[in-house]
Amino acid sequence: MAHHHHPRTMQTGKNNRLFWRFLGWYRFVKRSAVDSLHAIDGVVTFVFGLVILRDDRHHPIAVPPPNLGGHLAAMVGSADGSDVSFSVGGETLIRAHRAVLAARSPVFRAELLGSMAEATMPCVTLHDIELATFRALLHFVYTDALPPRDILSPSFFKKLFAAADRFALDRLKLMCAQKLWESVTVETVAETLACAEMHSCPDLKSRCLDFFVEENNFRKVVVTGGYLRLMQGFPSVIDEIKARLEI
Amino acid sequence: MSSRKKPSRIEPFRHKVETDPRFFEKAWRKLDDAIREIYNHNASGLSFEELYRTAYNLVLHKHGPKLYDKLTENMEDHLQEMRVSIEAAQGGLFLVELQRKWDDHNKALQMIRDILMYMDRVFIPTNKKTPVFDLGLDLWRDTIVRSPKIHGRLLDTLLDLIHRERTGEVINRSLMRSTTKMLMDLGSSVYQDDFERPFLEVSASFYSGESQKFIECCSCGEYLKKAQQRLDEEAERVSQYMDAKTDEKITAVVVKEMLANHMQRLILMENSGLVNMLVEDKYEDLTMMYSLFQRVPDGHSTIKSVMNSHVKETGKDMVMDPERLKDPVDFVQRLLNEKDKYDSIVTTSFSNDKSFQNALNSSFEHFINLNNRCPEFISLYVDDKLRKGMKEANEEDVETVLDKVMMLFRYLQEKDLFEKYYKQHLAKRLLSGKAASDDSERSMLVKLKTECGYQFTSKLEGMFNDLKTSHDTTQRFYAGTPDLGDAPTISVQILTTGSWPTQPCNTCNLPPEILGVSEMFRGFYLGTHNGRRLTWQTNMGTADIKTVFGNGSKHELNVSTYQMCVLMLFNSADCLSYRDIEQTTAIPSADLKRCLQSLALVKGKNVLRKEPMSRDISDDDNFYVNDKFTSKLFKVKIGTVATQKESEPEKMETRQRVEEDRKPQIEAAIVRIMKSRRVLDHNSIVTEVTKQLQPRFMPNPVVIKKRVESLIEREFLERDKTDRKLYRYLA
Repeated sequence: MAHHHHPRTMQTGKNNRLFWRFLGWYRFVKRSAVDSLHAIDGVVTFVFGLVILRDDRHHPIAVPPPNLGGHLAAMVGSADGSDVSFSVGGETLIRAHRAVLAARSPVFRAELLGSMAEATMPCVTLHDIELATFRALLHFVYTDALPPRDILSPSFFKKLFAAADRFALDRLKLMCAQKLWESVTVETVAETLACAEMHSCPDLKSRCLDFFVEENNFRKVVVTGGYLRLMQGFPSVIDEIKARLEI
Repeated sequence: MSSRKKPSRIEPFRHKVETDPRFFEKAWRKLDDAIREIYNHNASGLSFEELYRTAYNLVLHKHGPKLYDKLTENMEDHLQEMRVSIEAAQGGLFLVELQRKWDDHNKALQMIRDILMYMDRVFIPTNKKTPVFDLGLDLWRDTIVRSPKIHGRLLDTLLDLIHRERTGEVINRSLMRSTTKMLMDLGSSVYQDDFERPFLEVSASFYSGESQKFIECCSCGEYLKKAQQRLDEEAERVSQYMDAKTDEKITAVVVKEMLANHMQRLILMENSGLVNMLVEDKYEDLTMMYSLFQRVPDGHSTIKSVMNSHVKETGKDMVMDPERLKDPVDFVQRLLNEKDKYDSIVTTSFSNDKSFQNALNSSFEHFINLNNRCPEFISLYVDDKLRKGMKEANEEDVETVLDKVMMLFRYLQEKDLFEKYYKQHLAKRLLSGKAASDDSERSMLVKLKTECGYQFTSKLEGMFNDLKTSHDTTQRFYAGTPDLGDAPTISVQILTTGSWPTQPCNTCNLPPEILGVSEMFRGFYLGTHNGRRLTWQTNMGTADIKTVFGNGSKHELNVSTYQMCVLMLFNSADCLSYRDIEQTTAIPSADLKRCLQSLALVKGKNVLRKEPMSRDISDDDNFYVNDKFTSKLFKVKIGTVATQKESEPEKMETRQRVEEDRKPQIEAAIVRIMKSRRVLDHNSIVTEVTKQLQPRFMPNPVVIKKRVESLIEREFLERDKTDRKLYRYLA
């Protein structure tokens, strides 16, 4: 079908509308006419113009994925809007935001929004916690995730575990517990058990106990240094182990 | 967790293991000092971080139990100090000091809880101890609120203030509010035991005294107003400075002391109690009484029963008063007015309470049926309203009135008696052409049909149909019959015997002019209706007679049939004696005498003259046309008098007929019941029959018994061989 704007327009056949409408169109050109006038070496070239119409009803507006965590993550350590600084491990000052910390931890809420000194002090000193641990803790507070580093050793997790317990960040505590559990071996189970007992984590404790009393494991564990420390510091746990073994 | 994993280098878990034997003491001293500073309002200088860490370390090293005990001891000490200072406060400052110390303690407690948060979260749940904050509240409760010196004084102060407010003084409400809030914070049992219960007791005796004082000097309405005031006051008081749950308890106290305890006395109070309020339509007082006694057990039922007995009593007086019975229309109007009065009381003051409406209905039903003339009177009232020339001009008013009358109708127990009277009155209305509006008549029939079923009204409808048919028949007669010459024009109403009230038909000789054309009509009618019999009812009907008197005056007289027969005689005679007239017309003497009286002795209508001019008519009296007759109107009506209420003998007759009609209805009911039940004892038959026939009338048990015996005689039923009280249906 030749487009009627083209200079070499072909006249279409009579508009026998009724009949040709069955085919969807009613203007046709006879083959003989095409052959005689437009064929070049037996080849006819058809040129099309294509117009695509968009139907807006089925074309939804693209909404980007959530980015709350990303924006908050950007705030970690940022001075913008910061109303408190933490002094950790002696010198380093880490900036933070009272409202965010208070929202995430009841301990921080009592400390930063309460009626004692820290509520009005611009800088708060934290004792008994390492810088790396605090940074990881802070990262969790703002993003709900662990810091994206590959090498995080079990001992690091133990410290983070204790810090999470201290500052009442329960989810972080269980994340650390999971990490500790993942990496537990016969060498480390006693230590881990002691840690779980000290910082009151029944989930970790019960798994460690189960691991402990397995036939193959027990004989190896009792010779570790961790077991010694367990006996010294946590005699009640030893009793529990003994009770388990007697069954 | 594979044991093949290369052992990783782990630093042993290092923690500051406190080997210092005085670790606990040192740590505790820090906390102890801090708590003291907190109680002294010096918290802002303390380091939360350090204190929290101290407590944390203690718990971590299993010193939780000791810490907890020390804390308890410490708080107790501080509270003891506070107690001393509260006890020392004088007079009005007592509550103020208590409040101040309570605030201090609350603030301190929050901070202490924050510092000891780790212990709260870790140690306390596993050891089932009371959390720190609650511990603080319990200690406050035991050391302060329930201390011997403070406990009683606190309660007395609160109650004293409330008493003063009740007697009109203004008190410090916010102080009250914060004090009761303190008690609520300590636990609902503290609030209830240490305040609410004594408060309710004291209130009970206060209101007991108050109600005693008022009831001696106030009228019922005034007293109720005061009671309402006090109730509102107490509700407001609770909302201002007490726990919301106290509201319904104190309301119950006031209701009991002021209303329940004096209920009988109030309701039955002379000159101002319920009866007086009803009589004088005191809507406001009635509304108050209704709403107040709603809260009292048996309140509404007491009101209902007092109202009932009053309504029954006044109703009884109304229906039994011989003076009232002289005018039936007025009698019924009074009943309607009474019903209106109580309806508006129920609507306005008793918020359309259905149970009250029902109570009224039963009272009305009770007293209306005390007088067995009510069915007749109600029918007369309707008759009055439906006649021509009534006062209610438009149809809507008539409708309203009829609806109200239907309400009275529903109360009647002898509806079949009403039916008989209604039929009589309707017949008179229709035949004398006095029914004012066909629509209103039909509307009344529809109402009766809705109420009683179609059997009730089928005959009545028959009457209307007869009139319509008669009209058509008369027209056809005149259209179809050839020239009738000078014969008078007749308009015939043909009544089907069963539909119309039976009347004895008496003799009467019609004048020849009438006789001729009426016999032609009879022939015409019987020609088209085979097998029927026509009898002229000469005791009914009217005639219009053109008269020329001797003095030249011309009039058209509208008279009854009997009167027409008498008057026509005077076309051929000037003077006739009573005996002559009686002989010629053959009208029964009682009717004839009445007829002559209305023709000769009524002023303004005396077309005849009687000699002698006495009131009574004796056989030899002579009658003449009154040639001196004058009247302002051309058309003079000398018709029969309007429907009277029945004389005694007539009444007896109607009642007898009704009783006779009831017998077959009772029998039909008995047979229906026995057919379905087969075997039944006597008492049950009586109950069932009464239930079935109640919509029409209340059957007399004696009559039921007689009917049963009659049915046994006719072998519809038989007695059981062993049990004389048992009956069996015979198929």
